[in-house]
Amino acid sequence: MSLFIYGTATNTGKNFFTHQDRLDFFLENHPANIWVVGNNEKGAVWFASKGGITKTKEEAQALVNAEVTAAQETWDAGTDVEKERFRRPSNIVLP
Amino acid sequence: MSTYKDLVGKYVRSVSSDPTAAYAEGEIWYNTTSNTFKTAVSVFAWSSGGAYPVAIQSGAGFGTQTAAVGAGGTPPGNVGLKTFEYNGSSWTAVNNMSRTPTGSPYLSAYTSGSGTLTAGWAAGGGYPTAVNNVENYDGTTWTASAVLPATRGGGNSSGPQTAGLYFAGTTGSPPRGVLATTYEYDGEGWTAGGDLNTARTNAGSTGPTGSQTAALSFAGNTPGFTNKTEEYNGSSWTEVNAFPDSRSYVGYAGSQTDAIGFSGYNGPALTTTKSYDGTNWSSAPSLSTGRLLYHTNAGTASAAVVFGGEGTTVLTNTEEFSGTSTIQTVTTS
Repeated sequence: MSLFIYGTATNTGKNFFTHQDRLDFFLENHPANIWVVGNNEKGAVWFASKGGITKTKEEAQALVNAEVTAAQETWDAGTDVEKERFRRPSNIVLP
Repeated sequence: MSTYKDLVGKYVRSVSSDPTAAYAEGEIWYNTTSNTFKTAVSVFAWSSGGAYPVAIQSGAGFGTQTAAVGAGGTPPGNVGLKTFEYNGSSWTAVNNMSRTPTGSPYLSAYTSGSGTLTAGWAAGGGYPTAVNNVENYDGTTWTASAVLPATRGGGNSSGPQTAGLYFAGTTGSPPRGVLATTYEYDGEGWTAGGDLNTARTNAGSTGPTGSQTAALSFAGNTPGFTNKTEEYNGSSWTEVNAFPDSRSYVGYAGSQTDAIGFSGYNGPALTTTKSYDGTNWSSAPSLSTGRLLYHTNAGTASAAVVFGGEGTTVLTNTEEFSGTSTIQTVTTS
């Protein structure tokens, strides 16, 4: 059994994840609405209750890469002023 | 050898059922039903809050977790001089900041704020050339106040409206030299304070919970990443134990003796949180979303709120840091 559940879900704001959720399971949010959720019973129930769409790790990483690459290309094409205002987005490797 | 009674002032009591966790925090008792020693401790975590109404990279954040203010910032098309108040659940649009000329798109960029929802203030900012604007907020209206002695961007505002500090930052005009200066604010005017030992910008601080005689500055850009921490006593800054890693664009909340620093940047956008007890830094629970922060945070070390910031894109999501009391069994392993 893998350590994490990977998938997409939309953060709806207050109580999308609670204090107790954070104590019950691992949770990370990444670009492209990717969530990495600890693969225990409570994590699985939370992800399902949020309408999460499960992805493989490779699919999730590809979605993150696509958004990061697009943001990097936008940054690279920007003016010096724009480059001063924003940091070039870093590559992200999902756990 | 000290006993529990010496330290706490009472004996370890024996009870058949556990007391309410919130009222027993820090106490140890013996549960005669489970035949175990137990204690109640605060367990902290970040949870999701109501999303900021627009994506915001920089802006003034101040107040508390349940009475916070977000004002101005960038990107200008999103935020401009807009102000929003947070009630612990959702954000509501209120009156705009009063800076002029109102058509200047970056007038409130990289500003910082402090104080409370009904007695707040915001200082500096502006892009590409910094401004010296200062405004006070009374919970309804922003009013122009005495300007900073010099133009500043990227510095920290800390403390209440009538006893605040503005320190560090940059000259705000290219080439942007990092600064060590401190200015003290009484709500109507400014006087010079002691200089930081390490000039820096994009640093963490004590924010609204700091005071004019007990402030904190940590991490930031010098212009490289730094982990240096300094404490202010009302006249001078003293270097103390360093932040556990070097980072900039770090979020912050709390006082000189009970603070947290979180998120930021030293390559990737960070999620990690560190807490400070007035002497040492230690690890605390992480946010869910990594982000670079430009002062869009508020609250205390035990009840903080962060909104927006810069990830791969400019963000709207809010996270809240808080503790709940839980009962744990004491073991010797």
